[in-house]
Amino acid sequence: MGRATFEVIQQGVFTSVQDLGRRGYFAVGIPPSGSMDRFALRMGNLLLKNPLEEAGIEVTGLGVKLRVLENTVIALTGGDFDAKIDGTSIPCWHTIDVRKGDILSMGEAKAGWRGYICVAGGIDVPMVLGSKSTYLTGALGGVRGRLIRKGDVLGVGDPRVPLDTLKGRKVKGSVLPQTGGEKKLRVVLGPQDDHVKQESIEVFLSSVYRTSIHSNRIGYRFEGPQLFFKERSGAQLGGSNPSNIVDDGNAIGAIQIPGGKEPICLGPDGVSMGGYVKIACLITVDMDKMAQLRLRENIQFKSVTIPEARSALEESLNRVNEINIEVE
Amino acid sequence: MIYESPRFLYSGDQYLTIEIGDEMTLKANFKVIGLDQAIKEAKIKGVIETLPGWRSMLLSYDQLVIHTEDLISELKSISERIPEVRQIASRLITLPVKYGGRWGKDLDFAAQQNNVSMEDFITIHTETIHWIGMVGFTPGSPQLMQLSPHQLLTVPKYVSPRLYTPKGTIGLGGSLTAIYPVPSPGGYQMIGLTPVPIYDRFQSFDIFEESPALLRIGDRVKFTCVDEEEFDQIRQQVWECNYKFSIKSETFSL
Repeated sequence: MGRATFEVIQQGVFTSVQDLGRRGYFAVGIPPSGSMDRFALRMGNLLLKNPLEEAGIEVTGLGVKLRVLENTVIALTGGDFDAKIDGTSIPCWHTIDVRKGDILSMGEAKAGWRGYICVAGGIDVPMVLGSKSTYLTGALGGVRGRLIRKGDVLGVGDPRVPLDTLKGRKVKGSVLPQTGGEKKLRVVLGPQDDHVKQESIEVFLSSVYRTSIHSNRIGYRFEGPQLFFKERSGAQLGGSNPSNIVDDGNAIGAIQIPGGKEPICLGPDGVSMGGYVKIACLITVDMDKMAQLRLRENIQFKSVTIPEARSALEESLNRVNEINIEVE
Repeated sequence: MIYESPRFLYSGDQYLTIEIGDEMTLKANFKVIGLDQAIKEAKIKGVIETLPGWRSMLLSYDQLVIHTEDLISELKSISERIPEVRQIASRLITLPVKYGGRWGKDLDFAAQQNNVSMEDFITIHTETIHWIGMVGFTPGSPQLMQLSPHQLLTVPKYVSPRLYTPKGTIGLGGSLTAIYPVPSPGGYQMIGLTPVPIYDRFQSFDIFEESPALLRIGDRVKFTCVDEEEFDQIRQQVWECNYKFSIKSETFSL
């Protein structure tokens, strides 16, 4: 398992190993999984000169406490968890030297909701079906297919570069995601927006929704107004409720509206199929934004075109570039 | 119905939904399987994976490699070119089931709903061959349709889903049979339990070497009724990794 580098003293509430996910098994119901905020994981890896898809630790809402067993370099990205090393605050989006015996402690999320602990060489767990990502429903990947827990000892792979070349590297403030302000989740309408009444599509795109506390990597629920479906003619295929359709495949990011209430947007561990109308799908790049929503935070959905979604993704990927790293 | 030509629907910026129709039939399913094979053979640059289903397919692609409209026009030309698929490779997998009992506690209700005795219900469910029209929701979970039913078994789903269903549960919801590969919530009536794994994350048997999921779209399943003693024997064989899966490679025609 590589060099034993961290011992878990406190496990947080939902802490798992994630890389950029596994592909090729969706046809049998195994979703891609992977880090929910991909910009944050990629940026952490860039800081450490790891391959961008290398695995890190994803924490949710509440951070972890780790004992450092070997000298190494880490970077914390994503949400701000008030991290300290032996009681001294350390910055996010910054390489940090840690030494044998240090205690890294993280608190509750002060800003954002998901944090990433990246390490030079990456977290070393076995590749399962082409990825290190944890997928809990299928008990795949990560630490024996489960969440990280107290007592686990985590190994780290060989760093790609000498550790002293990572000193003082940090991400330029100008390329970091904006925190606070009004959150807009951008969506592309479809595949079944034609089942929804036009007035309800307008309501969907103009209402303020509240992030439900029943939100996780499988799906995010949003509380908002009732939406209505068009009258159906002929046989009621797939079920008697107008929100039912004959089962079809779910995109990651698909927004289902069972009963027209509480849209559910599927996350990286989302279920591969279902029999509910999907009014719209979250654009790829805004999964990062959804990953950082705080429970009960207000959001709005905004409709964009496919070319707009593509430029937004390109723009985000281009930001993960050495030109945006400065050395102190 | 099956549409004149497939509908290409946006599912965000990295997935497309290709709809063949809106019916849950073998005919629609064959068209999807045919299209899926043709897309795989075409090896379109940027296509990541496909998820074929009852009457539609989800396709994931890298929008930075292929633009959506270019992908749609390639897929359109493929769908116009493919000949009608009338025969496909289809494995026949036999799975033992202990009907009724603690994890088949809805068997009585399911039989009543179909105006048959429990014995007759089991006979109907084991005599017919079931067709897998889609796999997923949980890892490796198949949706099965009775192929040539002399009586189509139909039950309502749970109004409020239960929180726990053990792995191996055979459920009936509407006219579809499902097998629960992992413990999960569920809404299908529980009619029995199979001791044979259909999902194996450890890939302990050779049969799971390629994928931890045993069953695929286009396979067929035959259930056989076993009693408690046989169930326990099979479970022991599975535990010792020397259970012999019953799988026949065949072709199936519409």
